[in-house]
Amino acid sequence: MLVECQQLSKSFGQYKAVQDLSFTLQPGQVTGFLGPNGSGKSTTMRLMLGLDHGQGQTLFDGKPLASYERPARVVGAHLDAKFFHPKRTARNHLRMLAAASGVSNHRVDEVIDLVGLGDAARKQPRGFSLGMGQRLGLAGALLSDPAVLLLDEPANGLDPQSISWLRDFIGHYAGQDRVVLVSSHLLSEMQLLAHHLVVIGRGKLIADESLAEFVSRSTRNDVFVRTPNSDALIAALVDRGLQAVREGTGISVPGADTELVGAVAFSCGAELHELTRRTASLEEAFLEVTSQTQEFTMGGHGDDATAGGAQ
Amino acid sequence: MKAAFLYEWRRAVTLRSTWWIAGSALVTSLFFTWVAFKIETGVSNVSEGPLALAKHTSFAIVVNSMQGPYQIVTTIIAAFAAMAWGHEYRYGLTRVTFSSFPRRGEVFLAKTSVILIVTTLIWLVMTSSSVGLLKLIDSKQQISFNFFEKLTGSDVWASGDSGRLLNYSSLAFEMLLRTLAYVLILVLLVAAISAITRSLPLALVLSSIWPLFVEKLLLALSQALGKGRLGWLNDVAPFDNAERFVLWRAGFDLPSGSSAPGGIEHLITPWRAGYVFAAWALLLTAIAYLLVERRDA
Repeated sequence: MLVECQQLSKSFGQYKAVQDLSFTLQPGQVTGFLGPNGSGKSTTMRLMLGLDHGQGQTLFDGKPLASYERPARVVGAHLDAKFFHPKRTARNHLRMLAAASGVSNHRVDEVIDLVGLGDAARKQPRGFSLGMGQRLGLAGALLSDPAVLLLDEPANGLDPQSISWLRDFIGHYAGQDRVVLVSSHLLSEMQLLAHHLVVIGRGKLIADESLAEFVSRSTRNDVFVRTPNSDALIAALVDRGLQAVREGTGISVPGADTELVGAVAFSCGAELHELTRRTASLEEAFLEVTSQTQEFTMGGHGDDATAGGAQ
Repeated sequence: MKAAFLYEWRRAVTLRSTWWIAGSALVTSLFFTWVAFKIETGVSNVSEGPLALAKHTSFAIVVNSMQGPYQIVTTIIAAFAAMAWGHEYRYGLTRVTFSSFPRRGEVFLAKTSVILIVTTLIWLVMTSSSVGLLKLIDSKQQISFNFFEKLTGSDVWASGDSGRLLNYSSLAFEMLLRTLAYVLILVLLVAAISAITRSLPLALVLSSIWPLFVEKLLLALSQALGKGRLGWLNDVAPFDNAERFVLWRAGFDLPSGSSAPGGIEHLITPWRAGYVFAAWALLLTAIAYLLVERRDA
């Protein structure tokens, strides 16, 4: 199944939460949905599901979700870890959802075991931790074994073992030719999980490309080189049109590859003690790309604030 | 549609509150049945003959038990209706529900159907339990639709009795059905208010405060100002009409001596009041539907 989001837009009064957002989700891969707080990720997911009314449309294999007889069998969504009645047992909550997709109680028990909620299945979820709430939400999304899985921050509150399980599970799920869209702030997890990224900032599309492409565009990708002939090497690199920045005992050459830097060093007779390709992490690439689109920014450290005040 | 109905049915029956509400309504109605029985039998000083029989066999006891405390019992049932939308909004379940059913009209229809069906079931259990209780507390009870009509003049001479038992089953049923119609309209109205306000407590408070205070105050004001200015309030006030609808007892004061057949002529009146009450419920339901359709979940 192919999921096409076409020109999604949503405004709250004068505030434009999502602006003309278009992207396509491919089956067989996990798409990471990234953006700073308030960038419109959750609003976009709600628009995709028809929960919020806005402009544009989302097509699931060319058809709007509402045109399917059993939409719950097409899309499984987990948008929040607290969307349940606190006094309805976890199992009954899932039995209720099962009615929407027409799946049996046997499947309900299966999914409960799958997400590790077996011991809590007959308990009221009012006492559930965030992690248990996430498991219940995930169980609801997986109930009908849908072709499309939309998960909003599913790893929040999960312990490391559960996060690891979730990563493996989502990867395996997408591997069965399903569409998986996951939003998360845990960028280190996303780096291990996602094949493709959709990055938004202030409601606008910033990137829609593979994880490798996204990270490779970062200026943090460089070659680190150590040499006793640093002045000569810097001069030679600059002559070749490369940027060379002194960094501790070595030189950083952004945007270059090891072969090129090695060749330049060889040509100028510089003796190399270290030649390392450094790849930016997803977090570094993300922070770089979204630095101008942050809706909410944190204040500086206390020391900085004091220094600023003294100036 | 079947899926939406089943979803909503499971939503309702898997909540303990639903059963508490049904149980509370039942216990309350049984209590009032017992009170009505005591009052009806207590006032009678006739221990034998048709009058005593009428007292003991009167279906009116059940009717009374349903009509008398109708506001208490139906307010309990109305809490169930308020939960249908109130819980959805309170716990963010609209997002779970509407992502499973993007055609929101299906959900609205399913909720409305389940509210009406469950309410009818609760009402049926309440009514039949009241009849059962009457038989239980007095083994001589022969629940029938008989009402006592006082005889006068030549009839007394002819029969030698002071009165006779008449069967007004259709009339009794009509009165009882009016209590059902009332509670069904009320739950629609309360469900609509909870969908509009997105708040369970507010729906319950509004549907209680409005008839008890706001509407009474407005009607008192209309009386004070004279019929010319605010007299129309009496015609359109929802709960005042509801009260007239459910409590109309024309010709039903038997066996105190009034004429039952005379009362039947007046039975057109309560239905008009019922239509006004229903019109309010339908209007609010239509507004609720539009809001549910257009609002972001």
